[in-house]
Amino acid sequence: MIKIAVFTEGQSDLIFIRQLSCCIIGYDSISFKCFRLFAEETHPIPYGFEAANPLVYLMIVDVGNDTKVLSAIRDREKNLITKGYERIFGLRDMYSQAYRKRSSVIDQDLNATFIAQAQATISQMHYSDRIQLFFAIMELESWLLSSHNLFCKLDPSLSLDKIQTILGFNLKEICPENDLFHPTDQVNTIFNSIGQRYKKSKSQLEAILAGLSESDIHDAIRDNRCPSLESLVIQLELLGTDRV
Amino acid sequence: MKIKKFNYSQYIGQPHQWQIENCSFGDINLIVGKNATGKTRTLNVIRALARLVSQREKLRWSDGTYDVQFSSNDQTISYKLSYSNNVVVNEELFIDNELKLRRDPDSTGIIYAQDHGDMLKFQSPNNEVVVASRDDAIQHPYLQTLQSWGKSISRYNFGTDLGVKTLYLPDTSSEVSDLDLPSSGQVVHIFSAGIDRHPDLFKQTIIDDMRNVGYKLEDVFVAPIQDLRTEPRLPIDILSLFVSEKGIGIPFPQIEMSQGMFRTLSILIQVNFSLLVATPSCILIDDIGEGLDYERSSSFVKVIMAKATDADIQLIMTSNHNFIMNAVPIEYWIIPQPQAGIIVHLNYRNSKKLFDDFELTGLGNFDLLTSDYLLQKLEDQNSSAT
Repeated sequence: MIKIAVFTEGQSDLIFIRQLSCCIIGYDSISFKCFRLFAEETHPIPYGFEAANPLVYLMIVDVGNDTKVLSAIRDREKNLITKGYERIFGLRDMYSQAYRKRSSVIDQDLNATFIAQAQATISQMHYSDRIQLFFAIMELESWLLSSHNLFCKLDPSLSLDKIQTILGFNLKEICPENDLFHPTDQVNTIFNSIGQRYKKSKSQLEAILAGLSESDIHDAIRDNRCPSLESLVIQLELLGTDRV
Repeated sequence: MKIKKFNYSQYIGQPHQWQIENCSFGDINLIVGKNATGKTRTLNVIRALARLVSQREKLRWSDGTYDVQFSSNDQTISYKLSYSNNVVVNEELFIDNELKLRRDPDSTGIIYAQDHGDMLKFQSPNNEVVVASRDDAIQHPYLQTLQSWGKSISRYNFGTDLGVKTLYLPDTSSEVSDLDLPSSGQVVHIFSAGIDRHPDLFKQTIIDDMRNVGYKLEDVFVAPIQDLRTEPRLPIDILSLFVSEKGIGIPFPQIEMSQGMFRTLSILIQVNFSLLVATPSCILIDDIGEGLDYERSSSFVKVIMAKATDADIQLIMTSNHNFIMNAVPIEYWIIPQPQAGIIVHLNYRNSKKLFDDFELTGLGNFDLLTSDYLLQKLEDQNSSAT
């Protein structure tokens, strides 16, 4: 069994990586436990799952802040590797206070700078070859919008046509990573159309992602639409086939 | 009035030389660093200057030189004071580059007399600071700006008991005006005075602030402490602060409060009182959040920063605590770098690129101090300079 530690910037990313891993690796091959980092200590949070003969064990930790993802990894890498974790992943959004300070639109050069600088930070760590940071560009919500059938599963009235009417574009025809600076706004607009507000609450994310399937994921990354998600999916597929 | 640039030196050329070089301040400041990097001492010398220019203190150390720039209503006030062996050697005051006062080592000098519209000669006792001793609103009204700044500066040391062991004997002859604010030893009296001045507003502000920090208070009040026995028995009640918390039925006195709760309550009482009664010019808080847990220390520093911002008061804090550092944006940070008795300070104003680049590393604020980033950047700077 491969042990992997995943550090996420928040609750939404934790729920996403949990559901994504289950879809890709499969419930018969995965075990996981979830934690929240609070006052530098990890506290168990719902929920955990144990397969009878898992290929992969994931420890998923919500660190509560985008700038804490790499800090939390840096502080724990030695201990985790000592305890048998083979890989350490980080997951955070590109959209951040630091990004907004520098640009109010998607800037591919700036994206590349953030990615390169984060990689430089990782390269200073002791086990840099085992650590990988994934950026959701610009936010996790890009990945949700790219998996366009999720909304219809949440509320049958949210068909692609209806969403096109609401947002003014077809979710299948755009690349959310390149086109949407703050995709949370578009998800909120979709929620408003059914009389709700998108608050990124635990219950909302659980409800949206409960419907996530392998075909949704392949929809999301088809035709190179979400390269940032694709790189994460590839890594998880490798884990599932024990080829990491 | 706010401090913009601060230089201070002591015992130059001697083994115990100590020097703060060109430290610039913004409206909100957090001096961060390991122990013994001069954080507390920086607050001490700022407070000492405040007390010198407001005649609340005589020359404190045998040697010292201040060179400070303030901003006040779009004016730049530059003040220099140098003393040795408890005798003033030099004193100079410029307002917008115009000389207002110059004093020479023989204690003679010239000072601008506004009503005359001219510089007048003077001679002063050699151990007196002229900007503090000339109390003449007609001839030297510009000195009052500096004196007021000195009078109304407030310094708190969060790492101390902040008055938890000090109860209060009511004394009708003691007025609030007698208080030398801030005064942690009189926090019960200050709370009572706040209630007298602003019966509803003061109490509610304290309760709201405590709730924002994370203490679910339902009430805070002053009452006699019943179980305290004194020998001989006192004919009057001894008063204490009490709080009642949500879910805990019985109010409890200050001596039964947790250390963190009382420190928070004490500072909030003193800060709110000074904001309501006489706006402080500058609030200095040493070791802010010391002893508080993660959530409360983060919330407390945010409450204090919001109060300072709302009242347009300069706030200078120190900390070496990761919870506080992660809660305060690095734009507010000042990082002392001791180098052979000279302390230079890095901050967003003088090292913008260094701070901006750090944000790109993806690390949290605290790592600016604990990672190799700062060391590496400084080495790079030094090698490119040579």
